[in-house]
Amino acid sequence: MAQRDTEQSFDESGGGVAEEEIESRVGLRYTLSQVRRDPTAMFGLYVVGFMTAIAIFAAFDHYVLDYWFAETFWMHPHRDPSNIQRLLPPAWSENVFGEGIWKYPLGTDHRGRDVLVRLFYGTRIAISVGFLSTAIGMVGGTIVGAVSGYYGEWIDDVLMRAVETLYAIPFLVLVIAFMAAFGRELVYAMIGVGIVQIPTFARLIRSRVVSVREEDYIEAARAAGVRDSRIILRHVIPNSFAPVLVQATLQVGVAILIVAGLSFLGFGAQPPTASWGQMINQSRDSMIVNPWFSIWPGMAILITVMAFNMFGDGLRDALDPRLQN
Amino acid sequence: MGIGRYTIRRILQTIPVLVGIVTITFFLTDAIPGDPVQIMLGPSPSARDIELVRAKYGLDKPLWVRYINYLADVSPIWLWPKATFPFVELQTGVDLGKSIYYSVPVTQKIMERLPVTLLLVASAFVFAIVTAIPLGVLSAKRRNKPTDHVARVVSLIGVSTPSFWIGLMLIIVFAYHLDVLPATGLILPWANPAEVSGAENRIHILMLSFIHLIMPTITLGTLQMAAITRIERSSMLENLSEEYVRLARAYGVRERTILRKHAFRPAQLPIITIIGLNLTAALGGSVLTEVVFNINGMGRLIITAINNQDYPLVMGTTIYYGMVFVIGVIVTDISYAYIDPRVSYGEAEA
Repeated sequence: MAQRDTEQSFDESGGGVAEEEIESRVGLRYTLSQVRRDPTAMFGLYVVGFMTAIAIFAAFDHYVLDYWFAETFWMHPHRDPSNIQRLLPPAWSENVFGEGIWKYPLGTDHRGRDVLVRLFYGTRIAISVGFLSTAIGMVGGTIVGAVSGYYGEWIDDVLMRAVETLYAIPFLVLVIAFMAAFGRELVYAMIGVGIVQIPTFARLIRSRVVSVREEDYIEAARAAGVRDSRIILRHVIPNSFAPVLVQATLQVGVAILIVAGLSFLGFGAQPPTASWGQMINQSRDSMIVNPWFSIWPGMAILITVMAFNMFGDGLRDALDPRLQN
Repeated sequence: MGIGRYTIRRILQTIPVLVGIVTITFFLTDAIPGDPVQIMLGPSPSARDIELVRAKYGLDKPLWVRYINYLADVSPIWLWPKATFPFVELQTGVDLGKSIYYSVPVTQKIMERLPVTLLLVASAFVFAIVTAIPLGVLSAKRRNKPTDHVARVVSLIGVSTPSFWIGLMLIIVFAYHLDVLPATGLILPWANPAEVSGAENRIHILMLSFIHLIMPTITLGTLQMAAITRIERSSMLENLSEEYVRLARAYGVRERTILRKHAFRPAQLPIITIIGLNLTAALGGSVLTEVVFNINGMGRLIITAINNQDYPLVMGTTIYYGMVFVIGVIVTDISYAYIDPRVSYGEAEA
């Protein structure tokens, strides 16, 4: 499994560029200027920013607005239970439950809660779990991959077999088993999804470290008596990190998809907390009479993940000059 | 190193991985809260009953003893001869214990469900390959033209859409509104016609099976299709910029021939790797697909097992998932080595 990496393009990145050109081409500023010229990537970045802003707002808004009852309103004392309008369609259409009203632009769910507001709350879960679990995977994978690639020999063998083992059990199955063991709360979903991302990062950075460790400056540092841990942290990792950053952007999208799948199966944010996967699951009973309730959360996932992919692809093209034209 | 030795080495390399899978599974399952014995015996069992059941399932022993025992029990998975010296007895059966919830051997339950999941995954990959390769080639051939843009948008959407949602949308459109495809279930093509309602002979079974497979296949295969399209496109582009393609062009070889003979063949190699590596994603995705379409495969089995705290079954299914993946990767790795004469059988690593 470790023979070849999927991320082949990174293995030789910079290979087609003359040595002196590399200096000017690998800087962060250069990369950003390249990304800025890519409209698709910038569009992705804007959408990511927008979603993150909503997520941050949704995390604090109960101090500002009274919308939090959209999550828990079943028990809410201020709502009149006789006035609940379940499964309303979007404002511009109608279904067997009545005509849509602009009070609920995207309609209501099976308990009469505003779908749009719940979508906003779902953003909070998707974005936070996406970023945090990817961070866990990135840090864990980078350490494992760098140590493995730097020391080589039996340490490499042991670590890589461990990584392969993690990779061999399907992500979703592993996270489900993990959550069954430790708890169905969101925090375990976060940790679980982080752990399953370790192999991706570990292999990616290892393939880079293997060539970086042969560089003269590493040799020089070693000759000067710098400790290994310091060499790895200060020299090996920073010099192998560019593809990791790109992969991280793409992985956030993957993580959001995995978390949505988990929530769909009932592992993840527990009701009444809103999450997109769970909304899709809740919509299954009513998807014939009110398909809109199924459509919106899926669109939300699609748009968010697509934005991360667009930005990640743009970042990769900018970092890997060979692919540019 | 010859290809035969490479094959053997590749198979031996999986042993630590398989031990790792068993280890992870064992300790994760052990950490699942709740007492399976309690569940088995109902609300207020007598102390004697508890003791008996514990002894029966070996739950009264310390953790590490159970771990070693379990490892020994599942070892025939790797055809490890159970040594009874001086005679070596080859044991082919696998002992994964007995399911608490279904009260049948775990292996039997898994063997009932595994073919369904494998059929689903295989048909998803067939769908993905059949659609992705033409799309990727076309995309590379007409680079930066409208066809390419369409193909790239399709694959971008494909990798960004949650599969279970695609399944639900398909059900809404094709099962409820158009009423042309069945919304649930799956019929195996090798099922007995006598046991399937509405089928009289093999042809009926095959047709029913095909109809039932369409939506789950698209649901599970879309992500793979998109991923393979991307790889195919970049792989084709890479090969089209090779020296020998330029040389062929300079010789005046027709573009079609170049595309077919010079660029297409080597461009397929990364696809094999991707299929092997994506097997894990597809197996995970099959859990969701099975839930959406109410298909009784491994995915629903593991969910049932977890919800009922059926330790042996959770362990068994997880191990089998891991094994399917490991075998899949070996097969792709070895076929890769057979197809590509340039592969240096592992020495190139590190």
